[in-house]
Amino acid sequence: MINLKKLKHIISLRQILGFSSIISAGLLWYIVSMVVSPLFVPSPKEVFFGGYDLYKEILMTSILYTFYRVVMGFFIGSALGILVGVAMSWNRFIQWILDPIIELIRPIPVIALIPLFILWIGLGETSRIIIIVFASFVVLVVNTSEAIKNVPILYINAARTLGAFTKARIFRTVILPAITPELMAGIRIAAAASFDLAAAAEFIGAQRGLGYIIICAKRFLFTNGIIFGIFLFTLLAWLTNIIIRYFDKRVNIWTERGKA
Amino acid sequence: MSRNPGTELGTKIMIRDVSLTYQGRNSKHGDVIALQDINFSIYENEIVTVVGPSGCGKTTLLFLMAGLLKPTRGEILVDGEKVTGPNSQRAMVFQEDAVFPWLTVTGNLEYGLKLKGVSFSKQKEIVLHYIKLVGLEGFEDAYPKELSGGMKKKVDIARCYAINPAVLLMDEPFGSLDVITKERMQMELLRIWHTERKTVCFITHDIEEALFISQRIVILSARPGEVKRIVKVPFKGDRDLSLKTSAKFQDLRKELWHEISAEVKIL
Repeated sequence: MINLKKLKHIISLRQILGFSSIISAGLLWYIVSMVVSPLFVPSPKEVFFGGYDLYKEILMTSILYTFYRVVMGFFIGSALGILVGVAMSWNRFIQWILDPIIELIRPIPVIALIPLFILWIGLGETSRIIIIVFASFVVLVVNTSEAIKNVPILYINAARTLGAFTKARIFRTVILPAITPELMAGIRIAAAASFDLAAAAEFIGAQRGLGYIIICAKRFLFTNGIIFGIFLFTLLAWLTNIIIRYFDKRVNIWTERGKA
Repeated sequence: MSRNPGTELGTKIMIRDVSLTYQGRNSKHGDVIALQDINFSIYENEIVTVVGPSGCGKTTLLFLMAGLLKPTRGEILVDGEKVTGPNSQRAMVFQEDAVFPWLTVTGNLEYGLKLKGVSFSKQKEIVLHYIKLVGLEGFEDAYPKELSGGMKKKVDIARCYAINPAVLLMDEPFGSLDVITKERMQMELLRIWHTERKTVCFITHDIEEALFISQRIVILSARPGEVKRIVKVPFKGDRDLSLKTSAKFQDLRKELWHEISAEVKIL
């Protein structure tokens, strides 16, 4: 028997330790900032208040621009990836044609493509979004086709003896629901990668966005501005992950780790 | 023992000269004959078990009946119609746990009904009826992860019953359950079958299980699987677990055990 009282005790201890470790890290930062030059380690106050003062006029637009690029690129790329992944499992000729190409582009470090895309498409919004589209697409096309391969043939056979005769019905009633947990995992990876790429893409010639804030701060040696930019990026990625996790839990209620 | 029980019953499944050869990939891996000239019939509302040493093609035979595999030679007729592919007329309970984990108990039972285009109100009615029949009241909205192995088997059986198939094919459905649960499930199956008769073909390697639940037992030989003998089980209608300890039951069990173990080649 699990002692509930004891369990509660352990959880609260865990929370106390977790909380105090964050406080300690903050404290350590504060102490170090008193010793080291603010050029390298500005104090928390300089980062949050100084950083805010520095950018308060363009803060909202910067956040919105970055978020817009991430969301657009991520949605278009993920949707395309899932669509192509399903199409490849639907028809083996499509699979045979696309498999080698996907294997070829899969290992490309996407950041290395940024200069090329800018050269082709220009410095505008499109090239930045397309980079994120590309990264999300690669993650989800591989993820989807692998997930479909892992669907137990048992479920498909069961569905067939229960009256699912057409391929479309088997895809809709067995394969799609069966792969949602893996799909959600892929979506989380793609979302995280999208923020990485948004940052990298905004470092090169952007006029707006959080990456632009960071690069500007670097140019003028405003270390607090750099850290403030990183903080905002992190906050945005963190919030996005919370939103995805919320949907993940609702959609995958039936999995072992889903909430009962 | 004759193979002619009650001629008053119609033939439901007829297996005629069925052979299945798995083609080898190359000359090194030659063809494997899984089943050879299988002939037998299953009558309406009868439970027939198929037993045999492992690897003799029992499951293959059931997959052929379901239409999930095609015979190399011969044919299988259900209600006089040739089996050409899977069909909801031949629902199957698999050896592994085939209940869809992403659907609730109700969702699983509705699955086949939705595909059949049964009206919404009729669906609810049928689902309720079979949840009650297998004794899963209170678990209507539970996901399979919240159920025990035996309960999941009940969901699977109810899901098949719900679509009202002509025959029910069962592939060692209780093979993965512990002994106590297995015996309970055998009783449950008989109870359900007594309430609503169905033609059942049940694969097992458990002689006791075969004797306990079926009216006839088809014994397959080791690979290539051939019908070695068809045994009529002499026990009448209402069977309970005390039957298993009776002398007659034990004698029959021994006799069949010798028959099957003679087929098992010790390597």
